[in-house]
Order: sequence, then C-alpha cells, then structure tokens
Amino acid sequence: MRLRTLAHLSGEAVASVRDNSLLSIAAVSTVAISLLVLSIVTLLAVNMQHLAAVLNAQVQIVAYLDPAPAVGGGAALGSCQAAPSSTAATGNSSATVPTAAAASSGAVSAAGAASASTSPSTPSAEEQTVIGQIEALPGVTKVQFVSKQQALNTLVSELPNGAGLIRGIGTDNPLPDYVNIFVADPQLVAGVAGQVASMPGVSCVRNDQQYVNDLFGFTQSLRYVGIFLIAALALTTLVVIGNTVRVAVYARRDQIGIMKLVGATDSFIRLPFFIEGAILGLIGALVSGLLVAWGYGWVQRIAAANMPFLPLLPAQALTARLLEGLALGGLLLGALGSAISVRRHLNV
Amino acid sequence: MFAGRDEQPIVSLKGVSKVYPPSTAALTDVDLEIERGEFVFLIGPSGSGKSTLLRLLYREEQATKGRIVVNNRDVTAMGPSDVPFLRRQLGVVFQDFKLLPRKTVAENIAFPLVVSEFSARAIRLRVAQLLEIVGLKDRRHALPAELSGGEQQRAALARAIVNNPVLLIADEPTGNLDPETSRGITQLLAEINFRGTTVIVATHSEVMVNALRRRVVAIEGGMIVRDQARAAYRDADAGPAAQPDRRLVASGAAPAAAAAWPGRGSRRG
Repeated sequence: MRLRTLAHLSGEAVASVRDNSLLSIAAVSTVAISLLVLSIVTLLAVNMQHLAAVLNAQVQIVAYLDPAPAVGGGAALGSCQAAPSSTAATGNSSATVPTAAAASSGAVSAAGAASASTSPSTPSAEEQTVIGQIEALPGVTKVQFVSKQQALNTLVSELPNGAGLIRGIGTDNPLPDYVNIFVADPQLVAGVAGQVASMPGVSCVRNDQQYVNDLFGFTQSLRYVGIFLIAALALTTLVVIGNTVRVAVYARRDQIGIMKLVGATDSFIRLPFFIEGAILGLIGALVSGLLVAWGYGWVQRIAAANMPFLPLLPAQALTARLLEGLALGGLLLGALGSAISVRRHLNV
Repeated sequence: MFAGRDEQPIVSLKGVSKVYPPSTAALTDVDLEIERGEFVFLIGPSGSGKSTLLRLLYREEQATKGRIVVNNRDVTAMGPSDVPFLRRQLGVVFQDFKLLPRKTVAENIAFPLVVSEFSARAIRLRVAQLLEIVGLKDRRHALPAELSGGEQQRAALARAIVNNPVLLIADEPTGNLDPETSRGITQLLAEINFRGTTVIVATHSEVMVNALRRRVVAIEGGMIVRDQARAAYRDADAGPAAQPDRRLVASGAAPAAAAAWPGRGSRRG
C-alpha cells in the first residue's frame, strides 16, 4: 500500500472521528476511565509489592527488652505480638514462657533499671547479655540495639505532627528499648522469634515477617482483583469502541457501497475504521495517562509530606513506563474493538 | 461495428438463473452474449430482471445457476478477493447517480483512481480530461447538491469511465431526468461507446432506445423474450416480429418470445 493511500485513509478516519464527535468523546471517555482504573490498580499493586520487598529487606524480628520491672508489667507488655495464628502455633510454648521468665528475672532487671534510664543510647549490662544471647542463635546475622530515646526520635520524625506529640509526652518516654534482629533466611524467622521470646529480659517479640507475608498475600489477591477488573473494563472498552465504529460504518454505508463498486479492496475499505478505533484508543490512553501521571505525582507528594514511613515508588520512572503501556493498551484495544465491529457490521 | 467473430464476447451468460431467497425467481435460464464494442439496450417492465442481470455482471449479486464470463473472467467462479479487480475494469452508472455528497465533482470523479491507488499526478491529468469530456470543467469544485440532475449524471458517468473500463453498465441512467437532459446523457453514452467501450444500458425510455437504434434485448419475467440486433431492429417496422437472434434460437426461448412480443408497438418503454 502506498504511503499516500495510507495518508488518505488516515484522513478519512480523522474525518469520521470528527463527524461522530459526540460518540467519539463517549468512546474516548470510556477508554480513559477503563485505563485509569487499570492504572490505579497497577500502581497500587506495584507499590504494594515494592513495600513488601522493602519491609522484607528491613527488619524481620523486633524484640522488646524488659523495661524497669514494673509489677505485672511483663504480662501487659507480652501482648505486643498481635500474633497471627501461625506464629502462635510455632511459638506456642514460648508464648507463656516469656511472661514467667520476665517475672522471675524482674529482680535482676531492677538493678539495671537506673542505668538503663540514665544512658539512653547504649544498652544496659542486662540488655547487653540478652543481645549476646540473641547473636549466638543460629541464623542470626545482625542484632541492632535501639534505645527508647532513639525510638522516640524515629517516631517523631516519621509522624507528621511528631513535634506536637513529643510535647504531649514531655519527658516521660513510654517506649521500651528494643533490638532489631536480622536473620539470614526468612525461613528461620519464626524459629528465631520463638527462641528470643523465651529469653529472660525480653518482654515480647514482634515478628514482622508475618506482616510481610500478609502483605505479599494481599498483593497477590490485589493482582487477581486487578486482572478481573482489567478484563471487565477491557471488554467494556471493546464494546464501546466497537459501537462507535459500527455507527461510523453505518454513517458511511453509501460511501462504502461506492468504494466497493469502483473496485476498492477489503483492506482499503476496512483500514480507515481500524485507524479510527486506534485513534480513539490512543486519545483515551493519553487522557488517562495524563490523569494518572498528575494524580500519582500528587499522591506521592502528599504521602511524602504526611507518611514518610510509606515508601512509594518514584513518580518519574514509573509514569513514563505506565504511559508507554497505556498508549500500547489503548491502541490495541481500539484497533481490536474496531476489528471486531468491522467484521460484524461491514460485509465486504 | 462488432468485433471480429474469433474474439471472445465481452459478456457471456450461459443458462444463468437467479433466485432470491426464499423462492423469487428473478432470472431463469438466461443465455446472452455481447460482443466487444457493442451498444446494447436492456428493456423490460419493472421487476423483469433487468437490474438483476446487470448486478450479476459486476458481481453485486451471485448467480444461483449458470456461468457468467465478463472480459474473459469467470464471474460465477471468482473468489471475493478478485471482485474488486473485476470492477476496476467496469464502469457502473445508476438512476440515482450515487455521488458522494461531501466530495466535489472532481473528487467524485477521481474516487475510483484513488481507490485503485493511482499516483496523484495521473489522477489530476485524467480527471481534467474527464471534466472536459462530460462538460463539467467549470463545475469541478461544486458539491453534488449544487448540481442539476443532468450535471450529476454527467459527473457519475465521468466517474464510471475514469478508469477506462472495457464495459460500461448503466442502470436506468436517465430515469430521473427530463427528456431534454436524457438526450444529452444518451448522446454522451453513444460517444463513450464510439471511443471503444462496450455499453449496456437498462432503460424504460423509448426516447433513448429510438434515438440510437442499437441492439435491444427485451426481458420479461426473468427471461429474454426478444433480442434484436441493430439491423433487425430497423427491419422490425416492416417484417413480422423481426428475425429471432441466433443466440435466442439456441436457448429455445424464441417462439414464446416472438408470440409475447408481436411488434414494437407493445414494447414497454
């Protein structure tokens, strides 16, 4: 096919889009909305996955160390594990042990209580013992001590109104000292967490691995929901574009008849409608792309300002790739929708 | 006038029947041959099968039975992808002109060449030539709605012959025109035929048939009931029912046809 012919047919397609302006706008809007939802689901899934990956690479086990031996305090703090059932199962024996151990070791901790509160950034002697024990466990690669003061500082910096918070607390820091425990193999996390929980001097253990797993699971279900949504919206888009093209075919039936009469080939007659569908799809993709790019940038700015602890993927790289995908998707949806419609409604 | 006998006829129908579903017989067992360069009138009352016969020639309809050869192509056997290339060798004109309302006269005339992917330069030259022939040079930028009926049919004729067809098919070309304008179109058709294009015209118009005195094929009830060559047509005034054409004799339809059509006077215009 000559290039000039292609230009002529593209002109026909553009004219058709213009002639059917109202329906074209409807088609473009539908494509835009479909692709917008698709983009949102995609961005959500990608960020979830990113978040899960970041968390996975970060802390795996957090062990809260016994603060000053408050009466009955051990039992209260023992509930820091918002324990999912699997952890409860693996660490079943240890769940009761720490409270008992904490109660028995209360006297030992009492001696170090003063030193713990006076030197905020270094572990007390008792805490150092516990850290040594944890480090000796098989599979543990690193143990990182975080004092209650550091914890408070982190909290203040990560919360939007942290400064106000610290004023409210005053000097009475309610946070315990804790250690981050890194384990070589995620498989070992549950076992290590159980052992650490049974150590004296450890008030309770939070196993982040479980949250990460939950997050991965959630990402997975989000992906299924996304696939379903995408399929449903793709179908809608196909129908709307197909309908628009059907109207265009109908509006041009006289011209098509004459084209056939003077010896136009099938492809010559069909091509303008494919191009029309592709144009509609592409414009829809462009509209949704711009909305997504602008919207994601906005969400990211808001998130960065208010939720710095939530690591979102950077906008620039992500939206560039998303725009590519959207353009391709819009083009394919448009061309496919018109192809189906032309096949059904154009008897050449 | 006729091409040599050894040359294949440009149109050949053998035992052609057309039945529209469920059971409307439009044509029944039609035999017809048209030589290259001939000018043939196809006459008959409405619903006689004239238009169906023409539509079979450019494969707008497919024959139910029989064999049709147009310009050495077997129209009944060709696949759908060959149809466009058959039509590029033909020109077709209608009673309602079928011009594209949003294109100018020049664009309408150029349309078959655009569709056949000719170069812009070739199209420009050829369209200028055609505008001259049909006398629409001054109206080339007009839209069809701005033209008179006669001008529209001239534009349609120009479009039909812009691709130098071997066969021009005209279905009631003067059906919507007054007698004066009809004469002009008839004259134009004769000119086109004179330049070497075979012309088949289906018409009701006695004026048109009488003006040219060419071969007349009469159809009634889906059958050819009379086929008079030019010479025979002239003699029909004198003799009884003319000499039956050899092709008609071969088909076996002649006796009935002769009886049904005793003379010129009863022919439906």
